[in-house]
Amino acid sequence: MSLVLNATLASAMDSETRYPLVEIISKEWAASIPMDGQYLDTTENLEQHPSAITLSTGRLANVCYYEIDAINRYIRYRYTDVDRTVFTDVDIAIGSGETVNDISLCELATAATGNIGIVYISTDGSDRCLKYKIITPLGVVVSSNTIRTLPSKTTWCSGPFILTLADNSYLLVFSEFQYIDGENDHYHLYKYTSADFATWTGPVELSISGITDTMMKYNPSLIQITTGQIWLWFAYVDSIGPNDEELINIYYSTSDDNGSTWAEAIKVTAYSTYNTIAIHPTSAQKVADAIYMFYTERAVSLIMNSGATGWPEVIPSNHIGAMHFDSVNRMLYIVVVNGGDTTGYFSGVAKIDVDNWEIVDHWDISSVPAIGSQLTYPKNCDFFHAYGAGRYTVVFGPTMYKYACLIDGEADTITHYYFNTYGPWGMAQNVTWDSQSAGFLEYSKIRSAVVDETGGKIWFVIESTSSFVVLSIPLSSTDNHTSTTLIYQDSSIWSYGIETNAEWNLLVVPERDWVIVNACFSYAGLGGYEGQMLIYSLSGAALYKSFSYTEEPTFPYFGMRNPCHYNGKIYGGVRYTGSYGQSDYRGMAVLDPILGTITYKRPGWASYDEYDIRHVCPMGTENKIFATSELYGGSIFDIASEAWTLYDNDTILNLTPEENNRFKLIAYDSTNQFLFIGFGKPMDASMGLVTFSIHGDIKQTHYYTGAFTSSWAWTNQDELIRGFADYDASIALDPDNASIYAFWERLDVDEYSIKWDREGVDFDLAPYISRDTAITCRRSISGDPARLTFATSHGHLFDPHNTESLLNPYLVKGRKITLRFGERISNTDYWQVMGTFLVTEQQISYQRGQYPIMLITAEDRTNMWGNLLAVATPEYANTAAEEVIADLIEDYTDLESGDVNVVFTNTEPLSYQWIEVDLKTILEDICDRFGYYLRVDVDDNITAKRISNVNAVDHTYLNIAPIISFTPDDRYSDFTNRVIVMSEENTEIDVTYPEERITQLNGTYTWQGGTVTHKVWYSNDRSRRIQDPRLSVLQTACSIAFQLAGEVSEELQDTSPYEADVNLQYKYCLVIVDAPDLTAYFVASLAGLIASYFIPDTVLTFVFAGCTIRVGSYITAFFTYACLNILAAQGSYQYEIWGVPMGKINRSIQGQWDDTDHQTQIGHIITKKFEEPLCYTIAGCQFVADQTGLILQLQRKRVTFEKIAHLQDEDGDTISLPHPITGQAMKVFITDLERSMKISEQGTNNGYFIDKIEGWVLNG
Amino acid sequence: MAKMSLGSYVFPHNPSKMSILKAKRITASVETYSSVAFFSWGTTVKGIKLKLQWPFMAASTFASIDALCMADVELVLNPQDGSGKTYTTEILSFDGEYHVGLAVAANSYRKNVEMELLIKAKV
Repeated sequence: MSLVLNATLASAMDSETRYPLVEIISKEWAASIPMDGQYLDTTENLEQHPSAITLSTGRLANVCYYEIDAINRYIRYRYTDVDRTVFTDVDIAIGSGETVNDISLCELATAATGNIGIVYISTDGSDRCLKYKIITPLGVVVSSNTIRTLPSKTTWCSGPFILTLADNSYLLVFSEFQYIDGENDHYHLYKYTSADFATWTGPVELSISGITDTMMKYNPSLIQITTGQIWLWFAYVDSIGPNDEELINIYYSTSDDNGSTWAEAIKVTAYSTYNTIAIHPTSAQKVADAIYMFYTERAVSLIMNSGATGWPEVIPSNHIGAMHFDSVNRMLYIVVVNGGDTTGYFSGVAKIDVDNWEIVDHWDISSVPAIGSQLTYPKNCDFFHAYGAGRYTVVFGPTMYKYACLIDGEADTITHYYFNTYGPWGMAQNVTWDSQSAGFLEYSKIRSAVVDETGGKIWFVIESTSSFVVLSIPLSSTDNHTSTTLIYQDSSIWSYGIETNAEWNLLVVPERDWVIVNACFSYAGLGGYEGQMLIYSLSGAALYKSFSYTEEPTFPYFGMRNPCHYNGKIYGGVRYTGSYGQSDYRGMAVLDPILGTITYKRPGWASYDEYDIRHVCPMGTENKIFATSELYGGSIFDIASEAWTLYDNDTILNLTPEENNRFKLIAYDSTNQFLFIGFGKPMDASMGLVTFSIHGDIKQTHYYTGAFTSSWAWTNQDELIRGFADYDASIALDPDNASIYAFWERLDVDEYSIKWDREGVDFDLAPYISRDTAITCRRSISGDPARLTFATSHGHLFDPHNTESLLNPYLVKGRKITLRFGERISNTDYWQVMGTFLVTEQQISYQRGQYPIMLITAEDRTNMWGNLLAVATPEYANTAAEEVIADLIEDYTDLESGDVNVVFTNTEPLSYQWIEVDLKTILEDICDRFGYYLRVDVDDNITAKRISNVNAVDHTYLNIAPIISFTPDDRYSDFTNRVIVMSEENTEIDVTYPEERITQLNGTYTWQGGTVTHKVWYSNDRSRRIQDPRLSVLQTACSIAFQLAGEVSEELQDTSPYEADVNLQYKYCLVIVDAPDLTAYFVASLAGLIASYFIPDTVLTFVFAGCTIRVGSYITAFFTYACLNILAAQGSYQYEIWGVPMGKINRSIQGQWDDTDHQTQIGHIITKKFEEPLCYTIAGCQFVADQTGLILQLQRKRVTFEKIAHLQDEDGDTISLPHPITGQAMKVFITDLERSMKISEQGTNNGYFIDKIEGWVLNG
Repeated sequence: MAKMSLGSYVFPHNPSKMSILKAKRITASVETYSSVAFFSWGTTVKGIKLKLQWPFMAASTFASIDALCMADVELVLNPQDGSGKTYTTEILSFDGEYHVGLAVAANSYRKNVEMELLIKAKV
C-alpha cells in the first residue's frame, strides 16, 4: 500500500506549479541526558574549574584554569559567536607562579559595555588572594585587581561565585576558614558586593540559620530566579566520621533583599553514608517555577549486591562466585552464589553495564533463555564453577552428571552441554567426546573450563580418578556438540590426593602455545597434599613442563592458587607453610615456565606469613598484577618496581560496607582503570560487588529538578553526565530554547580536561543545506538500505575533528537524520515524512580557495544488519515466518515487537536454524521465500512489500504531463526461461538399505555346554536400526564328543521389533547358542572308569605257561578315553549377523517454472537451478520457482523514467501511466525510486524536484 | 540619495551603477513531455551577488575601500535606497584600473572601479 498523503498535499502534487519544501533534522537516537560529551581541547595540558554563562548577545562564554607547565599558566576564556557555532579560545596570563583554585564569571551590566567580569581565588608563592579581571567579550583584558588577600595562603577556602543581579549590582560569595583557638574554629560563608565591579564592599559574613559555624561549607553558587529571589547553593558537612571523613549534602538558602538577609538553609540531597556524598552545586532556571540543581556525587566506590534490580536471587544470594569483564562491550559478568567460597549454590549470572552501573540482563533457571535446572539445588548445585571471557560465561556443575552451559551475553543465548545421559535430571548426552572408557564416561567430573574467544572454542578438563582429558568444542556448536580431544593424561603423572580434593584451573594461552592444567590445595580444608601444574603444547598436545614440590622444591608445596598468565609468566597466590623448607615462601609466586624458575613476591605493606592471596589478575598491559586476599583486601603489584600498593578500608575509607576486607574475585577495566571485586564471605555482615578507580574517588554529575506550587518540591533525576570521572559541571542555557549547555571537568587517568555537551534538541540543517548538490533519497526493492545524500555548507563546522565547533556532533557517524519533503500551499506548509536514517559517511576536503562542502550519506537502520552476525539462531520449528522475522529483529537489534509490522499473505511455517549468518541475509532469505522484500518505511517501522505483477494499482497518472523522460532498459535481464527449485520435506520417512553385514559374534563353549543367549546390539551407541537380521555361521565346534552327543546349534531371534519401548525397537537381536551338555556322559564314563577297576584281567594258565586276558584294562582304557574326550570337548564359534539397515530421510521435492513462449522464441531452454531450504512442500518449491520466473520475465520488461516528484509514490508501488508514444496505460511496478530535490542557486534555473524510477512494466 | 555605507565606512560618492537590491525569486523549470513544471522556493536576498561600479574614484578612496576588503570581515551594507533595510555582506572582490593621463599622476585616481558584494542576510 502506498503512502496516504494529506488531501491538500496530494492535490498539490498534480499541479504543474510547485512550491517544494525540504526539511532535514539531525537528532539523537537515544535520550541526550545523561550526556556523553566532547573534549574542548585535544592537548594534554591541564584544564580545570570550568564556569559558564550565556551572554546577552547570544554568545556562550566560559572560563577555566589552564596550565601548560609551571610557568605557562592562564585563565582560559572561551567564547562563541552569537549564533553559538564556534568556540574561540583566549588565554589570559596570570601572575608568575600563580595557580587558580576556583573561578567564576558574569556579564557586566554597568556602563553597557557587555564586558565580562571574572573572579577567582589564586595562590602564588606568598599569598592566597581573591581577585577579579574585566575583559571584553572577545577576551581582551580591560582591568584587573585584588579584592582581598586571604588571611593565610594555607587557610582553607572554597568558591568564589559571582552573579550580576537584576539591579545591575554584583554579588560575590565564597566560604573561608576562620581560626579562633584551634577548638572553636569556624567556617563562614562571606559576600562582597559591588556596583561597578571595581570597588568591592566586604567581606560580610552571611547569617544563615539551620547550619552551624563549625562545619565546612563548600562550593557556594548563586542564581537569581525570575521572581527576583536570590538562591545560594552550597555543600554542607552534616557530620564528621571517626576517621575525619565527611558526610556532605547540598543545601540552599534564599534572599529576597539582594543578599542582605538569608532564609534558613534547606537540605535537598539525602546522602546518609560517608561512602557517597554530594558537592559542587550549581543551578539553572529553564522556566518559571522550575529549577534544575546540578551537583557532583562523589563516592569512594560503587557497591552492588543483593536487592539490586536484576540481581539473580533464585535462592537468596549475595556474593560473587565468578566474574569477568568484557572490555569490547564494556560489560561485567558476575556469577551469583549462595554459600560456599568460590563455590556454592548457584543462583544466576548477571550482566552489568559498567558505565551506568546497572544490571542490564540476567540468566537463571527461570529466565528466557534459561540455564539448565541441573545446576540448581538439590542437583548439581554445590561447588559449581564458572569462568568466562568476553561476551561468554561458562557455568558447570561438579558432579559426575556432567552439565555445562555457555551464555552468550550479547546474543542472549544459552548453549547446553550434556556430557553423559542421566534420565532423572533430564539429561540426554549431546556432546560427542572421547571418554576413554565407559567408567570414565559415567564417573568423571568436569574440573574446569575456559573460553578462548579469539580461537572460538570452549575448553573443558574432565577428570576421573586422576586421569583427565582436555577437550574443546567450537563456540558455534549448537545442539549436538562434537568435541576435539587435545590431551588424555593418565593418573600416573599426578601427586597423591589431587583427584579428590584439589581445586583445578585450566588456562589456554594461545600466544605461548600453552594449555595449563593446575591443581592446588588452596586452604587447609582441602588437605595437605602437593599441588601440581602441568603445561602442555596447545598445538602438539605434548607435555611441555610439569611443576610440583617433588619435581622442583622451590615450587609452592600446595600449588599455585588460581594462577593467571601475563607476559610469559604465571602468577598465583601461595598458601603458606613453615614446612618442607618453604618457610620463606610468602605472598605471590611467579613461575617462569621457560626458565623453570619460581620466585616469590611478598607484599611490602605488612609483614605476615599468610597473606592469603587467592586470586590474581593482570591489569591490562600496564605491567601490573592485582591480587586479592581474603584477609587483607587487595593490592597492586608493579612488576617493574616490585612495589605493592594496598587497597583496603584503611587506605580508602569506607571502601566496602562494614569495612569488609575479604576480597575475592577480580576483574579490571583497563580503559578507565577501574577494579571490580567480589567481597565478603558467607556469614559476613556485608557481601557483594565493589568497583573503584585506582586513581581515587568516583565522581558523577547528577541533578535534581525543583517544581514550585505552594512550595518547592525536589525530584532526584539521577545522572546528568555519563561516566565516573566527569564532575563539577557548570551550566549555561541556550537563549533561544533554554536547552542545557554543560561544561565539566573530566579526569582521564591523570589528565584533567574540560568536556562539554548540549541537551538534545533537534538541529535543523536547513540553513546549511547546500544548493550546489541535490538532496536525494533512494529506495529500492533490492535489499539495500534506503539512502539519503545531501551536502552542507560550513563543512568545517560539522567536521567531528573540529573541537572548536559547537556543530560538530550534528553529523557524526551514526547520528540520526530525518527527512521530510513538503509543499507550501497558500502560505501553509504541508509535509510528508520520507524516512529516518543514520549518518554512514561524511566527506569533506580542505583546500585553499575551495569552500569546505561536507557530503553526507545516511542510510536506514538496516545498514548495520549486514554486520550483525547470528552465530546460531534459535532452532525454529513450525514457526510462522512473520514471527521468525520479528523474533530475530528483536533478538539482534534494539527494535521491539511494536516496531515490526511484517505480514505475509502466503505464509507457511518455517523449521530452520541459521548458523554463522548475518541478520540481513537471514531476513532476505525469508522474504525471498515468500515473494516479499523487507523495508524500513517512512515511519521507521520494519515492514514488507509483496513483489508481484498482480498488485493493485496504487496511483494512476492520467496523462504524460509529469513525465520528463522514458527509457525501456532491460540490461539486468538474461535468457533464463526455466527455473527449478529443489528442497526437501521437513518430515522424515522410513527407508531401508541393501542388506549388509551388521556385526560379528565370537566365543567359545566347553563340555559343560548348555544354552547361552547373546543380546547383540546393532551398534555400540545402540542407535542403529536393522530389520530382517539373519545369522551367518562362519565357524562352530565339531569335536567327537559333541558329535556323539548331538550337533551344536545356533539360532537368531529377532525380538526387538516387538519391544514396547519404541527407542529399543529394531536395535538388537538375540543369538542363542545351544551346545550339548556332556556332563551326564562324563559322569557315566567316569563311573565306568571306576567300575572298570573292579573288573580284573582274566589269567588263563596252562601247564607251562599262561596268558592274561586284559578285560579290565581294556575297559579301563575305554572309559579313560571317553572321559578325556569329554573333558577336551570345547570349541570356538564365529557368527556374522546380517540385516537390512533402516534409516530416515527427508524426501526430495522440487518445483519447476517454464516460460514456454520464450523457450519457443529463442529455441533454447536456459535453466536456473537452485536449492531453497525454506521450502518443505512441492507447492512451496513451485511458488518460489514461479516467483523467480516472474522476476526473470519482468526484468526483460524493465523501464526507467523520470517524472515530476509525487510524494505518494514509493518503492514497491504499482503505478499506472500512459506510454509517451501510444498513450496506452502501462502498469509499472516500482523497483527503485530516487527522489531528488535541487534548489536553484541565485540567478540560475538549475533546480528540480523529480522522481527517477526504475520498474517493471506489468502489462503488454 | 544619502551616501551608502559599508561597515563604518561611508562612501564619499555613491556608485554610479548598481542593481536594485531586493529579494529575488528562487525558481526552476523543467520541461516534461507535454508540459513544463515550474518550481518556486520563495524569495530571498541571501546569495545575491551585487556589483557596485564607479567610473572614477580618488586613489585615497580606493585605498580606504580596499582596506575594508583586506580586513576580511563581514560588513553591513546600508544602500540608503529609501527602504531602510541593511544587509550583512562579504566583499567578494574589489578592483579597478589606474587612471593615467598626461596631467594625472598614476597615484591620484582609479577608474572602472568595481566591487562585488555577497549578500548574506537582511539585518
